Amino acid sequence: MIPEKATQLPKAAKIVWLIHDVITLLFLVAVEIAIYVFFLRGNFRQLEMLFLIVMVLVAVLPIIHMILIPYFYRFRRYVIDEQAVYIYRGFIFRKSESIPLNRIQNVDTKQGPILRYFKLMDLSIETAAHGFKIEAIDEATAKKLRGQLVEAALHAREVASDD
Amino acid sequence: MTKQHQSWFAIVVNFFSHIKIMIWPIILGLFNIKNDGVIFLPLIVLGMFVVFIGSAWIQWLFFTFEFDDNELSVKQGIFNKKQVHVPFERIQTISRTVPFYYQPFQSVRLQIDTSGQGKPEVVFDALSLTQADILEQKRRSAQNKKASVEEIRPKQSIAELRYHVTNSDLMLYAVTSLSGLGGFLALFTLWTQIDDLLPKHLKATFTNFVNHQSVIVLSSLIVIGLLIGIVVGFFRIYNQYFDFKVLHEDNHLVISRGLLARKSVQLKFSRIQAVQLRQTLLRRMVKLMNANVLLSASRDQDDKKTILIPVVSNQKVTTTLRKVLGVGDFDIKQWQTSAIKAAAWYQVRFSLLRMATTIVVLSGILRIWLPKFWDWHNILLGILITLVVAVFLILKNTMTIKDQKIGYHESVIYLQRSNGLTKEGYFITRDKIQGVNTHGMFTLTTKKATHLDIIVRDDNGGHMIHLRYVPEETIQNINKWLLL
Repeated sequence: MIPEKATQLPKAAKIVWLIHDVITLLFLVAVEIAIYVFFLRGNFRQLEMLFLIVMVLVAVLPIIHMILIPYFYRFRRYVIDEQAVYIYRGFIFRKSESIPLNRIQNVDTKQGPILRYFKLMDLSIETAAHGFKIEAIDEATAKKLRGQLVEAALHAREVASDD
Repeated sequence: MTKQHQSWFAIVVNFFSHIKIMIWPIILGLFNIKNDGVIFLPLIVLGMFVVFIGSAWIQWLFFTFEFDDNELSVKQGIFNKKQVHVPFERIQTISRTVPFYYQPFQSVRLQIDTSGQGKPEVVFDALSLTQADILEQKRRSAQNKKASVEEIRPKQSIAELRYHVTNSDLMLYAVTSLSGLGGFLALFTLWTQIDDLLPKHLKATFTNFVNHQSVIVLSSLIVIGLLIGIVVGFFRIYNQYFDFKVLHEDNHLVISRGLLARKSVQLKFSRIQAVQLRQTLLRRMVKLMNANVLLSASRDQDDKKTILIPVVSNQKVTTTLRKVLGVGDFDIKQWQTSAIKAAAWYQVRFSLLRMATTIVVLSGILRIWLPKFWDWHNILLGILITLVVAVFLILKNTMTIKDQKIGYHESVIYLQRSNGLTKEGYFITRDKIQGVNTHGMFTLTTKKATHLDIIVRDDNGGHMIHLRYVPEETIQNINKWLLL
């Protein structure tokens, strides 16, 4: 269950995901048209129908993602407290990830042109064994969280240092 | 600092490693040589010999190293020069291997590993024993200096024997490892791989031989092959773990083993991320298990896991671990409910549903695209196979849940899981758990359970311990314990 205190992503995240999906869809359709026109048309008649089915299925994936954006947005939240970072995803297929602060090795921020336009950032948190990402949080919060996480991780490591 | 070369024996080692790389092309080339080419054979062999020995000598000449009290520097390469600086204080593992053919030349193969790279920073193909001893002494001095700065002289390190495998234990380990079966399969795979490369007349002779034998002769050949595989596997394990010893030396664990090639690994205690107890189906029947350690940074190059205790009985495992590692936190007292009541039924139902879906899809494909195979013979055979698989899945999935255990005590957690056949138990200290994930469908919420993954570091990546249908209350307790 997602706790009530969990923070929701900014509303602009929905527009960013939509733009990403549209770009992915346009790219896939362009590649599929190129494959069809330059390699398949007229050469492999028996494969043409199969290819068309695959083409439609591949193009449908980003469309399904677009339709599900409100669902993804509604059930994607995070919590950062003085002990750990938690991320919650999904309602039908539920997933939660938690990392104690003193296991954090790196905290990176990433911002592409679309995220920059909407003043958003991706925050990547890594341990020695794995990592996870809080996607599309607003710039100011990302920088604040980055500083907070690095400081907390350093403090926690100083206390528990064994090497 | 004076520049040094490796032992001259490194030239011989490099020469044979060149031959090892080229052995298959050479053998296949010799098989396929035409009649008129045979005259040039001695010349070709001589030419190869000169090229290989020259290359090995140049490699030796351009591989130099020097060191002072703080740092080891290694230079190598002719055109593409590479220089590596390794501070002694940062060395995590020194692996020393002495194959039997190194022994007359008083040489060792030495690998030096600092953390985080995934492969050794420096590999010496052949150092003299004196050179290897000096490097290890420098590493010890630098790390002792760091541990106690007030000491003027580094304290004399004392190696303390903590575990020594007995001959009967080693035999048990070799017999119950079933690696011979793997050896037989590996030989079969190798044969299928090189089959296409062999000359036609050799292939024809073999095919002709096989085609003219009866089923009894062929089955006997397979049985003989299996027996040879099992015997070879037995001796491979026996050779690998002969005289297996674990010693404590300052803040290092020293593991040495081997009959024909003596191998010794020194690793820092702080690199140990988890202790894994492993029990295959065969070992479960005879109540034996082995203990491995999951390590940060590069693991033992030759093994998939670093073995700590090759074989130990179920009853003695915690006392042996306590002795080997010198810590006493292996008595778990706060056992938790590891799975909800109907977990075994849910697990079996899930796997049977998955099997049923596969059968429906396969039957559909067969009925529509391959109707000639859709006859009562095949349908009956399919039903029989399905029944056998279903019984296997029911047993396997029931065992998966039955084997699941969760418990903790002070700073150590014990997690036990199995795939129904091989059982794995993990002792992990709180500070080595990197993260906790939960996942599952929304329907699990009504059952007040979820699937749980505990993440620990292994090598340079993560190792996930999956547990199924864990009660929410247990997960809350684990989270509370983790954040203490």
